[in-house]
Amino acid sequence: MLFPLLNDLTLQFLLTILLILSIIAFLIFQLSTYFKKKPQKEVVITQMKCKPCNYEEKRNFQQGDYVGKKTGKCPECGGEMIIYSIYSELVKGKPKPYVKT
Amino acid sequence: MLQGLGQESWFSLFIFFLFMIIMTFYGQKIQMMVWISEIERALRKLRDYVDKSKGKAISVVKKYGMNEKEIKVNLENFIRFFIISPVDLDPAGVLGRLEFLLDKGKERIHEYASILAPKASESETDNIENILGACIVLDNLYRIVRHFLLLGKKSQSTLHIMQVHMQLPLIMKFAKAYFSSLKAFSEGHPIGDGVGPLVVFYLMDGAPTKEIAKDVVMAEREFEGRKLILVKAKGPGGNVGKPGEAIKKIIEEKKGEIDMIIMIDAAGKLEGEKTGEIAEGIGAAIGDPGPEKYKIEESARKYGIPLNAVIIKQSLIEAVTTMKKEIAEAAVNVVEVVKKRILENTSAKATVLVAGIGNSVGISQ
Ligand SMILES: [Zn+2]
Repeated sequence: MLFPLLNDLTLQFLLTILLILSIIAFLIFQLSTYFKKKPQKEVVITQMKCKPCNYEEKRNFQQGDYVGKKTGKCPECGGEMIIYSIYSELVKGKPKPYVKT
Repeated sequence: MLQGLGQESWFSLFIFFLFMIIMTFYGQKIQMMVWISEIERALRKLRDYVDKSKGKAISVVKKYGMNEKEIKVNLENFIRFFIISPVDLDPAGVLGRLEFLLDKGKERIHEYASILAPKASESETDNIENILGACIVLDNLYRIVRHFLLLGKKSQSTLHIMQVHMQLPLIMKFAKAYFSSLKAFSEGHPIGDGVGPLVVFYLMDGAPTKEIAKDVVMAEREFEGRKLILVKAKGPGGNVGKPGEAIKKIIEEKKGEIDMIIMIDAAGKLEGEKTGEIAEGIGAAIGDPGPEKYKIEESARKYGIPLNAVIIKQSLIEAVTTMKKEIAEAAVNVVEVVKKRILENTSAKATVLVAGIGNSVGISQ
């Protein structure tokens, strides 16, 4: 006997409260997933290596870098330093927009 | 049973049945409206991608002399470029025709890139070609999604709306990958797909190179008594080249006297697999539409040369964006895998052909 029961004011009141509570719970859940994502920033690293002595250096990517490019003398042995690897890494921080317009 | 109902109960009963009737007869209409609004949202995002990619192309090309207005006009003309796939009702020779059309398409894109940026260097022109390619793909995707949306709205056909809506996650993933690739190409970063050329760069170790086929270079090197023939796309511009042509040429030149072929390529990972996972197998590891793969398989079969493949797993988006650290580290490990395979499967004085397949943006030789 569902419909006659609905006439009962206390039951309607309870149902309304339940509805409001579930909406609030849903909103909190949505917001929590939104804030959980820690902002991460992508940085591009250029790694240089000296072939004779295996000395390594890292710095941020600069325009014109490419793997195999000669970057100068090795501070350890005076050999030739070349770019060995270029890769992206995620670090904590605000994300950088991909395209500036 | 219903005798004891008051006026308010009758009212709630009425509301309930009204709801049932609406849902029965208009449920699908409401579902359509939800789908349409979701497609429209995706379409706005695609439009945004297209606009931003054009903006990026213009800002890159602007550096090489032409003024912005001219670039815009040229770009609008070129962005609707297409290649019609060859007829396959009569499949004999379809690969040859496909190759011909793809080559001509590439040539045209190259022409456009040199018209837009006449003062750009060779590797910069290669990168501009890739940027134009991404613009074309994004523009096409936008047009296709818009077409089905408008068609569905006009004909009120669930079929059209439903098929776009169901493929939407895949389409958007694809669009995002192409959009993100613009950054890597405009700045000259190596991309995940470049892991093959990177491994071969490590194996070359500074050996002198020569161009053997269009945009493909080779080098020869000694390794533990074996002769290594190393092949990769020409860098540091964004090239894929024609590695199949190169491999075929080398095999023919050596009259089949090659003891093993090892191909290294990036491959799509399954969900749940780790980025940078290395796997070994048999076959031609190359993801071209067919012609290059065919040449490699055919020449290897002709002389009975074992064809080994080493793949580095990555997602679609990782393959076209700046190389992830995991992939760069995997490249170093692949060098060891390749060396081990050579030592285990060939005897001293053997000749081994190692080919790194993929886009060579940001990786020289
Ligand atoms: Zn040194």
